[in-house]
Amino acid sequence: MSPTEKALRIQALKAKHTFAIQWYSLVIAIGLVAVTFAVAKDVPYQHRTTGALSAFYLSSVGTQPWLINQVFPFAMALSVSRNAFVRATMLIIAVEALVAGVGLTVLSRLESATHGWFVHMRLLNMPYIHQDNAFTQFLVYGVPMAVVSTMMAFIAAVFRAFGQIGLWVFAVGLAVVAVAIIMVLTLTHSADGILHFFGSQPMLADLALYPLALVVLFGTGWALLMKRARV
Amino acid sequence: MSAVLVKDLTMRYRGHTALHGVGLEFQENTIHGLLGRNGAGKTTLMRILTGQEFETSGRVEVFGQAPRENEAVLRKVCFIRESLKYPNYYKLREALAAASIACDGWDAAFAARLVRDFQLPANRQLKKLSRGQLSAVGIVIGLASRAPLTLFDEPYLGLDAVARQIFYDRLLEDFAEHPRTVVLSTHLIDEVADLIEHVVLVDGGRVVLDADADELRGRAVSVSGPAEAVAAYADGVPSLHRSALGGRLRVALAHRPDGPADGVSVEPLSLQELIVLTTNQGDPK
Repeated sequence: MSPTEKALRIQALKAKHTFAIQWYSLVIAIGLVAVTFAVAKDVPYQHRTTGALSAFYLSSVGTQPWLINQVFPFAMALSVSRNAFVRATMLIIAVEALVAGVGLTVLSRLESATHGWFVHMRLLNMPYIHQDNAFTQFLVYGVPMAVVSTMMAFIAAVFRAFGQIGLWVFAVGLAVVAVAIIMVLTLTHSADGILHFFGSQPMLADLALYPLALVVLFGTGWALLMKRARV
Repeated sequence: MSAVLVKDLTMRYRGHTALHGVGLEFQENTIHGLLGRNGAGKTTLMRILTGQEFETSGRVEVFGQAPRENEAVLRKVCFIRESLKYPNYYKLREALAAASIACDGWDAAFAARLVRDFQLPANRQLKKLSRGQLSAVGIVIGLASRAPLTLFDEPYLGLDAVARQIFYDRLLEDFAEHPRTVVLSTHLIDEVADLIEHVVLVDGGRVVLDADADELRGRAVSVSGPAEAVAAYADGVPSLHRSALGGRLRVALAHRPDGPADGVSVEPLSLQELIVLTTNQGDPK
């Protein structure tokens, strides 16, 4: 068995925690919203939409911190190398994104076929993310999953490498950068132009292409930080 | 052949030097005792040997290669620490499953036997186990891994005397059948004195003693008797400790003097006494 395969199998040992939590959340969200709209019969069709899909992505935020801060130190005691662990985590993030893309695309088609889970609701087929093409729909669902995973992996790696103070510096630094960007946009009166730019882009670019740049950014940062991670 | 070879190893943290030019060698298929006081640098040394920490300078070889991110070396190593943390939600069977995946030499039957010996609950979450039970989990993993280089860093925190004896017995039994290199860091020196074959004593980040345990056991002696007779007998031999009461004197000597022991009592020092006295060299004699 290769070192990467070993690390992968160790990370997937608790498959429920590594892969399944977001799917539990989605099933619960679909069930709750369906029951709500089944009871609230007088809500018109155009209002039978919900943002509960965000629960799918939000409930996955704990996976990478758990893997990096709890499974990683244990794996290192068993002499799994940092490089093998990082390679395995990359595979896990890719598989998570792939499964999210395929699974949510299939479920969105199912939602359409069942007329909104038999209660005319729209949880997956939201107007602003619907794609007619299955592959682009797969990207629109899958890439945000990779963004969430790499971002959380990066934050967990900051903690692993620099501890609580590193996390604090990162948070403060992020806030300073955000404030600086807002100030520049405000002073140069370019905020409207930026919003217009993203608003005029194809949905696929906003939800898959640009987020892919974040995946590369956070993923590179995370992989570099893990090289200096101590346990 | 040596499993571990360290030359001129220095490890500095911010403003603190944990290891100063350490040099040592751990022969293969031997049980080594890595001894020393808290903060002496033992854990740092083991972390470097297992690739968990990176040395500031010096040469470190494990099975002939540098361990840093070296998967060919690391797959032969298992490091059980006192503070080993298990992932939340893991149960014993999952921890053992992870070890069986990672360790090429994993013996599941031996692990099951050890679990029974230590009376560990297989289906309880590890975070709900007592400190001693968690230590036993580490011991099970360390022993059943049969890693060619197994390092135990104070592996039995919270373990009762019976469980510690089980550890020693199983280690010896299994070592006899499957020889490998074991490095055992502990403060319970008397308990492991008969177990270890080679002793490395680290103090203040330096190796102050590196010898075979048998040689050490017979080497240092305690001499007591009338002060003048003891002083005459011990003349010219380095002393580790000296205490006087009335006209009587007791001296711990680094080795047995050549001359006849007239009018004095000479007893060998235990390994623990030797270690304590050697690391107390700065104290008044």
